[in-house]
Amino acid sequence: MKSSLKKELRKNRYIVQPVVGDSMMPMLDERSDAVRLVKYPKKLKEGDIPLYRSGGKYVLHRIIQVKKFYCITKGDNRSVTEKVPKRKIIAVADGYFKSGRFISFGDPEYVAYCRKVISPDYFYISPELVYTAKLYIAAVGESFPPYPEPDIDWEKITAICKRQKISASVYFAVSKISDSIPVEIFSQFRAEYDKNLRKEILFEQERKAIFEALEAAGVLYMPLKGIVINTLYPHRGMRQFADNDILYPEESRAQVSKIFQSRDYNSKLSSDVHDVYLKSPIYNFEMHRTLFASDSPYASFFSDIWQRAHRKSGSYEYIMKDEDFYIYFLAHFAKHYYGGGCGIRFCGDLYILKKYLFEKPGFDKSYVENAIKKLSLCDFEKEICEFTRHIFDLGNFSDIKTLSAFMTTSPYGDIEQQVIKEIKSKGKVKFILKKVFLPYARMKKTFPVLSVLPPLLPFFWAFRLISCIADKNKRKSAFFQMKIWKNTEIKKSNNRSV
Amino acid sequence: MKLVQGFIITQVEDGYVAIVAGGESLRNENMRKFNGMIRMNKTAAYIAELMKNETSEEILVRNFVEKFRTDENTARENIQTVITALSGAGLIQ
Repeated sequence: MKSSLKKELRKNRYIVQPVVGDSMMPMLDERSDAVRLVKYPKKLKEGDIPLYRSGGKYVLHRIIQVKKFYCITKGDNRSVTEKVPKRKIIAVADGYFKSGRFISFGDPEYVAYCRKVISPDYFYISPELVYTAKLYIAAVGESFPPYPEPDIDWEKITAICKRQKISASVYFAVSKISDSIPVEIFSQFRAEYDKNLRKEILFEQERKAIFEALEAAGVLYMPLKGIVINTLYPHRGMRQFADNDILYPEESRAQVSKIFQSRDYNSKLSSDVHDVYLKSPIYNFEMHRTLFASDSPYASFFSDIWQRAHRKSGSYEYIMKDEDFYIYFLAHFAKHYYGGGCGIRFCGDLYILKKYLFEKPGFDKSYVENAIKKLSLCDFEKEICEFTRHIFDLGNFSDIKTLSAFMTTSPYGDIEQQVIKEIKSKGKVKFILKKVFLPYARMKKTFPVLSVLPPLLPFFWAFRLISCIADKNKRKSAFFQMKIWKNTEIKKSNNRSV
Repeated sequence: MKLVQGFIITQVEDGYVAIVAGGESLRNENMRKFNGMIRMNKTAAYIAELMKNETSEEILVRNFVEKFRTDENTARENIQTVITALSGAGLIQ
């Protein structure tokens, strides 16, 4: 297309291209709008909208900064910026068609809009994002949902729900206003709920069998995260989940591996913290040997979790006490929030935990306060509880930046965001060094022989690097991170990232 | 007659559901095609539960009459409806 586009522009003064995607909303709506492209001008400026190739796709984003050899661009409906070499720019827009009406970039209305959009305070959130959040909150908060606006894009809403993994939850809201929703859209939500309910029932059955095997082998175990949180949600099958997390002692690793092997599981992924066991069609168990990696700021607080947990009478099962469960949830939430971001479902979980744990008789709030202070989570907890209270209890959606950050990130964060944050906090050189040369404490968790023979550490660094190159998925992930590393600006003077 | 292996029947908020689990069921061609759920009411779930073990229509009728304190004709009608539905989905061996 690139050469034909350039050819077209040499032949004609301009070409008109329909818009794909929502990254330039509200200016460009893919349902009805098109953009007029002209030849690349001699000089680019802030506010210009170039067409270029990125990640194998054609992209039309706005320039927010011009450098000698490259530009920094950003979609009007995006928070992430991109470094674009000038040689990759194919054409620029000089106007656009809005529902058939041509608007030139010289038009005073457009000039005012452009000035607003490139200002550092500008922020846009689509009505679909806001309405999806309201549906989710009505479902989990068990309140009546708002009716949709007539021109709401239901395809966008179902796509947001799928990405956020909240379709099964939102089903409970849309079923209350089903007359206002297209039949095929409602059927999609119903199908997602059915699928999740089925998955939950299958997991319950399988988990029962695994617990019986752990009991028979005398292995201590402690259910974590979603296994507990799911039971607190208002309806069975409401909360979507990917896996079951279970804590067990490091010394039982071989026994646990044997149990899963005897049940036809494959161990696909292993880290210094957990092993992942997978079985078709849906079973995914994350068996944690410790709650946090040894270099985590939260590791020390949870190092004696077995001593603090309550053992079920006549069983090897341990139950984390409610206060520790909440603190662990908060630490896990912070890890994702400050890492690659996280989806709105964490807010839903927080709302549920606050509602059911904090109201239980005997819940020790001062124990939780002291622990949060010790873990330097006070500011985070205050910020996140305030936001959750506003959206769930007060119906106040005025904090659109935070709302957008949650609603545009997938449930466990975006790798891209995580990598960018890491690069910006550590610097480019340190980022690479830390990726290649993992600390000894973490290496010995994956390669236990290092505990006995520490001088072998350089050999295992090399082995890990070669394994990464040899593994197709790890190689793909490494190249993806290198691309982000290459494009990330460290010296930021006009950073609009949320 | 009895249900193929691997069926879980469980109560949910708005009734009962029967879903496919592992075991012999996954090796059954019909079962692999059926990867969803069957929704049932209380009486259908009761009948399906009895059919997890080898049984006959007469035994089912006797149990149904006793459980729901109803007449034979009503029992037979309910049982035949359930058998037809399950058989149509290839779930009876």
